[in-house]
Amino acid sequence: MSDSFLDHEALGSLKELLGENFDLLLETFLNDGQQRIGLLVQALNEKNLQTVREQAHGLKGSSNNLGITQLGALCSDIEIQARDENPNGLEQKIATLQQMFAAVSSEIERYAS
Amino acid sequence: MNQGLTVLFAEDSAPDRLILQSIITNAGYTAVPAENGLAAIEAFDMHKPDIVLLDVLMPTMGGVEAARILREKDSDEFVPILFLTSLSDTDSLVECIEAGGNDFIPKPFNQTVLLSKIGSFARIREMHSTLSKQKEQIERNNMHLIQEQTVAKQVFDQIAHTGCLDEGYLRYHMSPFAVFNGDVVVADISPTGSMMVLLGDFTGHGLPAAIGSMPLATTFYGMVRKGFSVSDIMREINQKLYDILPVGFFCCATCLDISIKDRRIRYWSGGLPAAMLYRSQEDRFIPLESQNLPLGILSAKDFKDDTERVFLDFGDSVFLWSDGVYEARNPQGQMFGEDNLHSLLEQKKGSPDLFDEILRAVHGHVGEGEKDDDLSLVEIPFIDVEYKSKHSEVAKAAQKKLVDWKMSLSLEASSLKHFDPLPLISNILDEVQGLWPHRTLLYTVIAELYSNALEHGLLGLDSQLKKTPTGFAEYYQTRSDKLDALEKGSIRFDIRHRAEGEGTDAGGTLWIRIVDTGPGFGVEKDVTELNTNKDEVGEAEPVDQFKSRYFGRGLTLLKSVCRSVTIRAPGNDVEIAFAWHSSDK
Repeated sequence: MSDSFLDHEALGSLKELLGENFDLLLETFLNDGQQRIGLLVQALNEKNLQTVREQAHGLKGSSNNLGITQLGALCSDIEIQARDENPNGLEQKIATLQQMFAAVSSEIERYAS
Repeated sequence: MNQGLTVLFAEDSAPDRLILQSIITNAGYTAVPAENGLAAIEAFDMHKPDIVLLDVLMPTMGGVEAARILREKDSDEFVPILFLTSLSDTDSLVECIEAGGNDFIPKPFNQTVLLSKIGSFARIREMHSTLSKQKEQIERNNMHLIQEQTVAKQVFDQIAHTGCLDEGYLRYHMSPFAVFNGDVVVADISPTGSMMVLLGDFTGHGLPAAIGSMPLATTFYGMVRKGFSVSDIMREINQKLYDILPVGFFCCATCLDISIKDRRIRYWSGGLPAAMLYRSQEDRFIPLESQNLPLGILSAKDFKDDTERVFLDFGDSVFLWSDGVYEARNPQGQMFGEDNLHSLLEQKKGSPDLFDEILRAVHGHVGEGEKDDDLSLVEIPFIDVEYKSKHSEVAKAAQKKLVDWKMSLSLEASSLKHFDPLPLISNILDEVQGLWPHRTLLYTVIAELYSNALEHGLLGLDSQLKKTPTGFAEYYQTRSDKLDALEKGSIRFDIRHRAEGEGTDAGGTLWIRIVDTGPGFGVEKDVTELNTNKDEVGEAEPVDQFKSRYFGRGLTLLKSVCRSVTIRAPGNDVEIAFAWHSSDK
């Protein structure tokens, strides 16, 4: 994947806004995202679409707030599908999400340092 | 103004909370974070925020439910609730608003939008607070007004109901708070057994209208019990109201003096609709028209206190009302009107239920309106009954004071210089109850006699001087100088009174004789002028030139008022005889 997931302009604004808490924000995002994905996968296994929906919704929000729109869009798809109780291809989407998040995490770590 | 705002926000995503916190804190506000709806409610109670931001989808308790719970809290304050949402479907948005939300802040967060909405709603909250405080102030003020009116009404009721209103001699209808509409009805029995009734309608509403009722009622009752006539009472009340009421405020009134014994009514009316007298013999109504301006408008000089006299028979009735009857409005705003009332009177004349019929008709017209019952109606039936006053015991006791008596008062020059005997003599005459109705007149008579004795007899002044304005001033300056210089001379009052008859037939004669040590005015022999008919006011018989010069207009006055006037030679000795009777003419 050659394109960056990150929007440097958006991140720049946030850095201004958060000041010395910017690193904390990034760290919190990563931890929060990690946790949500874990719950998401578990929920899928338990066929708990409500939880899938909720966690996808949460990660969508925080991704978009950080300008990581691709990640946000994928979460949105998953959220809608879970809401509509449509299991077709849901498992693949969630797998894609895990991968994308891993990539995003690396980029963020590189950005932060 | 917006510094120091506390913003409570509920957002389940940790990074999002951080962002919100930064935006809020950077703007100078106090940030209170919460993870979900439940935590938000706890934080609300603890921190009392000015604004609340709620995410919609949160675990444990979402934003919509939290909003509902917050709105259920009892509070006079308005706390804006803004929903943070990425939801776009209308149903969800409607649900937020119906739960009590005021607006939405879209996600992802835009700092400008967020702060602008917080600012707007903070201003709305402030306005709401101001309005609330003003509303409370208004409510407090209203409470005070009502309390004041209640007290005023209690005071007024004490005064108003000391008469014979409830003794069964008349029927009246007034709303309980009529005094605040300016309406007043008072009635009492005079010492001679007449019933005096006064219906008044003051201009204005509320306390200003009620204020005038107090002096009116106290004056009325005070004077009726002392035997004053309608003329005297109207004159006195007019003067009081003229003095105290502001320009533009006055009292329309009708005052009746009903004498069963003499089968007549005397009345004075100013400004009210004409009282209606029903003659049962002729089966028709006769209006007792208002002849005068209302009370409180004219000064004493211009006030007309003349009364009209109408005879009555048993079975007759007099109806009085204020114009509240005409002006009673139905829910559409139409007035009941004068024509309606008159045609009702015509239809139901002679009916013993006419009073109730009138009330029924007016109340029917007004319907279930929220307006207060604002009409005053009085019916006085003329029946063969004796009016008994609650105060008759007191009156009888008073009658037993000065009956047959005489007194002599001599004043030497030294006293005459500084002492005015007239108030003293007036006070003594006040002790003869039968003379009360004639107080004013008697005072004028005595003043005339005394001034002649003093100024002409002792000081030698010529009253012709008073005819021009400059002469007038000169006269009084000369009087003052001569009085100061007076060394010798004296004036003697000899006053006698004899009572005749009893009860309603009581009467008496008062003799007042004034003698001064002056030279007199060339009257050669004693002269007595008799006034055989006291009703002949101002009828002058050919008068001796000396006498006319001596008395000026004074003789005419004395003759018209007194039963007889006796002048003894050489003219420094004048005696009048004044007769009174408990019933007037």
